[in-house]
Amino acid sequence: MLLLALETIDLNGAESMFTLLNNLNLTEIIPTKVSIWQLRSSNPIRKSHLRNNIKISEFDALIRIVTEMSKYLYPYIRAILSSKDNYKLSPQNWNNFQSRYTELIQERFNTESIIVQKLIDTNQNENLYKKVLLNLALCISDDGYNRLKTVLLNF
Amino acid sequence: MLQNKYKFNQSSAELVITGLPDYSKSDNPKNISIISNWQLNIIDLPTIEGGIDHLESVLRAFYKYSSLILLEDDEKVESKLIDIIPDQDGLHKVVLKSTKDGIKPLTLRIGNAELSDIINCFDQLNQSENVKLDFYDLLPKFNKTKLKFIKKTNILNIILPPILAFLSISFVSCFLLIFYESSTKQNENISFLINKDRNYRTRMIKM
Repeated sequence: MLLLALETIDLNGAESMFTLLNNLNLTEIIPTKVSIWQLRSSNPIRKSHLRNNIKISEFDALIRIVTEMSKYLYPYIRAILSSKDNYKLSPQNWNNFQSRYTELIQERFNTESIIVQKLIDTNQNENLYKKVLLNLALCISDDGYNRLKTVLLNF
Repeated sequence: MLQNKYKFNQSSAELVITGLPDYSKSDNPKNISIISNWQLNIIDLPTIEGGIDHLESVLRAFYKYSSLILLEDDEKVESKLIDIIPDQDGLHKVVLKSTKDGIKPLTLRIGNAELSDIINCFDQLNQSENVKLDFYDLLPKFNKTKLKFIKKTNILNIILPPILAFLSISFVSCFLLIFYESSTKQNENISFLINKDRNYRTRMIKM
């Protein structure tokens, strides 16, 4: 969900992730774009779900990518959150994010699942989308990396 | 004596720390080990300031609150100096209580964007090499994690699943076998009774 949110904000998200992998020297853990896709496919609500266990090193690498991408995209993440906070004055950023995120979920996730149906239901998904963005906004530092890891391990 | 001052900025928030180095610990003159004053400036909101006790209390409250929000736990933090409560429209209400008598608490409403700016400012302070503040007690602690990793190096983790599978299969098949045997015996008894009943009836008819 976090990676998909980053892809929603960064239109070239998949490429950016791979570039960051190289920059962070994580290519030993996740060598190719296919490896990223395989790791992302371990999410059981995705259409292309693969039954594979994620190793601790891969889990850490994915968090590193999320943290690093959030750092670059922080101004945009903040702008969307601000738009949600002041929805009456400036709803555009939030509306754009919400519609594109919903589209991506419909495209990538198994829409027959009840969980996914809740995710794409505009009446129910606002809080969840906001929480995803807040997670991204709060993970842009080294402390943020630990915070995100704690949240994911306790969710 | 000149005081050192460091600023930590993140979009709408600015944290200013003023203090002195601790020469008794042979500190670098540029460092701050004794915080004498701090200020948190947020755009469109009044300045928050105080001493080291206030800073620790504010840091603890904000860190705890952010963790509670992300974990979807009971999102409410209350302490002697600061309360943070979720407000309507998804905003956050910060109530700052003065230690001096007769001063009313100051209430601020901050959005999610401002909240993340403030937390990121505090993170910068934590990572700063110039300001030495012990964050160990300020960060929220989690005793257990819900998600568990399986260590493949542990031999039990490799052997245990097939043994458990074998035991469960044998237990279920034993149970079904016993059930099958008892049901066949019952059927035999019933057929015996039916035959007995038929013989009795035929005898009656013959008579």
